[in-house]
Amino acid sequence: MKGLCLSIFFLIFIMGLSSKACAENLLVSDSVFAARYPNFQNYQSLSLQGLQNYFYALISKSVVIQGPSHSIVLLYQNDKGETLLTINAKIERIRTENTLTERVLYVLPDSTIFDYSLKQSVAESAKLQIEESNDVDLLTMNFTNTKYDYELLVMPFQTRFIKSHEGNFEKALINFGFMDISIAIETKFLDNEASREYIYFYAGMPNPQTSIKVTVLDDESPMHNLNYIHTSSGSVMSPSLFFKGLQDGAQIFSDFSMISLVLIKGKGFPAIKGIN
Amino acid sequence: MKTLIVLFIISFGLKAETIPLPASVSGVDEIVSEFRTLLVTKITDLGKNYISTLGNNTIIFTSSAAVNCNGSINQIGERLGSLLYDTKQSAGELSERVVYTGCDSSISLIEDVVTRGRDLLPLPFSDIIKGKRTLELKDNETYRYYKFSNVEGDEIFSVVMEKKETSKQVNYFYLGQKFLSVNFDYQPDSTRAVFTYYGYSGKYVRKHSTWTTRNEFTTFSNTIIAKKNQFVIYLGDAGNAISLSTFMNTFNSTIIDRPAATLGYIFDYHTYYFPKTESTKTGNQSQRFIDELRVAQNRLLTNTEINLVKNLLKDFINAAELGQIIDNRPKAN
Repeated sequence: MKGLCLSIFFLIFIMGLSSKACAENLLVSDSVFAARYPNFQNYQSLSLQGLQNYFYALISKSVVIQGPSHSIVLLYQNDKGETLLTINAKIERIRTENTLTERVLYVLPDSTIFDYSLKQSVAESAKLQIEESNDVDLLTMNFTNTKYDYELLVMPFQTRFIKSHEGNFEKALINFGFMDISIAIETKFLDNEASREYIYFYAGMPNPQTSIKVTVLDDESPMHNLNYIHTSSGSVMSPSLFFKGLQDGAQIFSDFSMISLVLIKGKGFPAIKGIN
Repeated sequence: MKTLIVLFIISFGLKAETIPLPASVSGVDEIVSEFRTLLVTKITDLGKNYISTLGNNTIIFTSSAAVNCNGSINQIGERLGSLLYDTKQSAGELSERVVYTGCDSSISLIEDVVTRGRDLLPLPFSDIIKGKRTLELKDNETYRYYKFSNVEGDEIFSVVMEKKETSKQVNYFYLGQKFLSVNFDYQPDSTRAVFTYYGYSGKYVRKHSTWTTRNEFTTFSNTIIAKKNQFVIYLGDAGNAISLSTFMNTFNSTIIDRPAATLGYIFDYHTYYFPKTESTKTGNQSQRFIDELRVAQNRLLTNTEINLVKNLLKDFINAAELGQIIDNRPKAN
């Protein structure tokens, strides 16, 4: 349990580094994080990689029959072209003035439902029409093209991925509900300073909320030297510990990716050779 | 005149809105790269291992030390290999020829390309040296004949491509026998591609080596229909729906594992006309790198999109050669 808690703790670090820059004109931009921590890029993708691969293979190995109103029938076949399983899928879209919610439902033969939804939103003032996601991207959980603020909810796993921004402030949240783990990543960009703070909450921890922060300061000299300050719950920590934390924490995302493949099999989806 | 303009606009519109086939489906460049890559790699490695002298559309490789090539010793400064590029141009037609010559001035392979269209330009010689060639027809091109032959003029491989307003036909030949044709039909809201597989047999004889192929079967077809905003439909020979996986398995087992693989062996033989070369192996560890490798591994394990794995490996090799991927692994024993 201790190990898990530690991993969760460091998880937080990692998550934040996936965020994008919001302030283009500032001396300190998102690139300071990317340059320093190139190995940690997109933790949502890392977490969903297993499911993405799974659904991509599922569709590749199925005859796909497209019905009316975004209903889809997947005839999952073996290498001989024999249908082993019929899975129904449906994509529902609900649009309001500033939001677009796209929900995917997989219905298995025993009526078990596996569903998830992507809700994208824009500020009222933006007056943008949010583009619909491609059906294949939705069915394969490929959300890399998502441009706006969003909330991705994988109901059966009680998992949420949220990303929002307001001015020079960006917030990302990953909540693995079934593991009681939440990680928030808050990124701020000021004129000569950028910071990224990782806040985690785990129900079983004695101190349920801990934060780790990296702050990057431009010294405003002609050379624009950057100073990196690493802190843990307000106390300065050495960069080596910070990096170790990042490394250890990355494991959680891969773990979730692997656990999700076991869970999906438990829901009644077929096991696919080479994936789960 | 007005009718002409309208026709032009319609045809332009069709081209502009062509619905692409899925990336996992191999096109002419992917199929040809299955075996041509061996030759390209050899030429690139010659440039890294030996002294290159550039002339008028010619590159000659020599060595500052004596080199054993195919059993005979080549002295310092003696020609170990060369590449000669020649072009001829007439109204609406461009003919290109690349002659690959190995040690003892033995011609290894001859590559011919005939292209028809408008505003045709020969490739820069710098691209020829790097093996850069795109066979897919561009907007200004309507026809291409691409051939590899040996010094006696025996055709080893060829492909003929012809494009009309809303269609394109691509025929592939191994030792002069057609083994695959792909017919494309382009409509504003859909693209239909019919892959027809042909049986063939043949014998290719060279010094010390012979390739005998009997791959006879009844001609059959598989079809892809890509429609705008819809799932791609794959059809078997009887018009029955099949999965992408089944389509790819058929393509791979009939083309990639058969004629393309045999051509690979033949091209490998023809690279032995040149002296030995060494290539640099590199690798690196980064999250993106690992992620991409994992995706590639899954593609291999599920036997889908093999060509995307090949493209990825090609990208890695290019990146490694540019020094973007560094190998820090301990040396292998």
